[in-house]
Amino acid sequence: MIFKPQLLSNFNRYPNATCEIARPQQYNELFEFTSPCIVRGQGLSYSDAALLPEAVIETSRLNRFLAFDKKTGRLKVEAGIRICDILPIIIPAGWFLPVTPGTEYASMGGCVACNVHGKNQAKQGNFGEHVISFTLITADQKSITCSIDENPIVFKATLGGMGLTGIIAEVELQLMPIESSYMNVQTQVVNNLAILLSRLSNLAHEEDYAVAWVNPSSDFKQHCSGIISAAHHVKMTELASQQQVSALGYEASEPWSIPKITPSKIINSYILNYFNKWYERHNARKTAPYLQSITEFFYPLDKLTNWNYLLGKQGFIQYQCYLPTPHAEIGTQQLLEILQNTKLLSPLITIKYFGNATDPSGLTFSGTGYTIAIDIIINNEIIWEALQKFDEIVISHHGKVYLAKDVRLSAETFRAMYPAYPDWLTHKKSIDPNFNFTSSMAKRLKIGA
Amino acid sequence: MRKILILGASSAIARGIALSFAQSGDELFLAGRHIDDLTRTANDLHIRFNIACYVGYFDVLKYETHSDFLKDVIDKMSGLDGIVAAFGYLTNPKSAAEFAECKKIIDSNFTGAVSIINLVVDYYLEQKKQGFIIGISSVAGDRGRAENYIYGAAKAALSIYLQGLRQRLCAHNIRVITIKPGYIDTPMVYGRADVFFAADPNKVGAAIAKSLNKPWDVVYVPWFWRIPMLIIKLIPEFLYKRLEKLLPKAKKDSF
Repeated sequence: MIFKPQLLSNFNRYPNATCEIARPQQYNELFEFTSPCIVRGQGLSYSDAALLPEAVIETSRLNRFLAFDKKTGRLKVEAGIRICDILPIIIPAGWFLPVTPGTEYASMGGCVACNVHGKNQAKQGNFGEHVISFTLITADQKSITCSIDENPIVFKATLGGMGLTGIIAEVELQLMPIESSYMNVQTQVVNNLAILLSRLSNLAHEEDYAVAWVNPSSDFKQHCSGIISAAHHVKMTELASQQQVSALGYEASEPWSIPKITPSKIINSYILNYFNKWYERHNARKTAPYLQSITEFFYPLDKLTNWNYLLGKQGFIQYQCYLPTPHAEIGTQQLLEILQNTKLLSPLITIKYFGNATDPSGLTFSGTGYTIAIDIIINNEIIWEALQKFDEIVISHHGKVYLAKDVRLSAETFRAMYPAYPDWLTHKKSIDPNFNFTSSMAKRLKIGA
Repeated sequence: MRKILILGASSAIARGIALSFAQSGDELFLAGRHIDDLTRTANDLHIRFNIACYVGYFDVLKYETHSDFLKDVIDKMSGLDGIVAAFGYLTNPKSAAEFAECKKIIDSNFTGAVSIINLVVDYYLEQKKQGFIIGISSVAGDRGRAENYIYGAAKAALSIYLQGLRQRLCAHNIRVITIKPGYIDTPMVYGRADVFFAADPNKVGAAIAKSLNKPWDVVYVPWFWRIPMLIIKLIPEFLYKRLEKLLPKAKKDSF
């Protein structure tokens, strides 16, 4: 493998680091990993988990289908393959990912390493629940198969283990059957946080998917306006006969692309307020349920590639935390009020319901409650102080921050939020005693120290 | 659909070409030395596009095996409509002590090509087939550069060989296409400081596959490489030989 120095950052463009990065062309090159190193998929998490100045191994060329059983929905792929590469093959065959993150450009390896969740966490749990097995290349250059039956301890430690147990080289999944590639979507406007949260959890159980968009321009001390959208996969019986003919059609999205120029102050509060007002009004008009394609419903942000460049060269943070149900309303209210007081620029706030606390590694982002994600543009030094206050609130409510959206947790707050970390560390040491696999995130959180 | 043999199929460009042909529904035979990698690609293309995709061992330097190899390919696919010669080897030996390396470059890029392509031509003529031959040469073969003249010479030889074949086989309606890639984003180019832009191998692969539907027989990929190469070819020798002093030195081995 040839390494070359390159300035790297993840999707949120902060932090950045010059890393020696290799891009193996053949699968067997993965065994030539160095010590230390970290593997990188598409770098789409908003974190520093796929950064390491010493060595980054990028898997984008190891992106092939290995096996696909159209009858059972068992799919095996090389870990560098992206969701958007998989969908054109599985959807027309009547299958879909049981759990999908918000971007179709994410790699399978990344989905496993972060144990991602979707808008259906209550019904399907996290991504790892549907992983049948994966191939892990370990620190002693062996290739092992991990599943519930084979190497179960390493299997669990890797689901959400942020790539720190070894190289996830191949992944085998159990897909979910679908009758059509249409989604039946309904939206409703709410003006009150308590109502938003309770409707969200109801819809998460009644429908297949539910998510809430919170208007960042709301005066959170008075009210909280937002839009809840919920959807289910459309069954054949719900389709008109004309639509039934092409029920499982898949059309790749033709996204618009923002050129990678980087003005740092293009987004300001006036533009955001205007956008938020428009967005709320636009969605409020949709009173009756409507149909959307899978791409439109699950990956709306992918319509505009490089949209992260709009938010400026300095990058942005996403603070995504989980709050258990009894504390969710108070905790969310506290976070939103701090956000409002500090006048930080937040282009996006979303809330999802979590109904499944399965946590194989001890580092999985799951639970029974709500997850609140707040994007914040890094344009002011007070952001770091504000986020520390966020941490205090989250810890006080027995919540946690999503590692895949973290660039600044301290080692102490991390340990407070993930009490199962010491057990995970024991497993990590058993499979990688010399800490061959490490990352900028692992160093920041003082993993192993 | 067409039955196409791709030689040196583990390379990034060859994978791009195979992807394009598979998308069109062609049946493929992927040949090279890295059987594990080729098998992965073959399975992938079969799953995506439902085409038959065979895999076989091919070493361009083992000339004595080429005849049996080709018979095996034709046997497995029950015929052969076209081949793509995508194998190649690039290093930049300079001293006389490195002669073995020089020979390897010449043989991998030229002699081996002559060996296998001659066999394919005989087959086409014998079967009266209007098959095609796509040979992947290089812009490095357009004019000798101090950095890489052994590789450049081998590729230049390949280009002339394909050109002669083209003239000979024109009357038989056998298409011979010479592809001249510039910098393509592959392991051959990865990490080199002097590469200002490297094209996506899948896009290049698609352009190469499409060249069969177009009338031009010498194709630069990406197309714009035609322009700087034309200029380079037109510079008079007394100026050209002095260019090494004028152009910035590459930090690593270059084309």
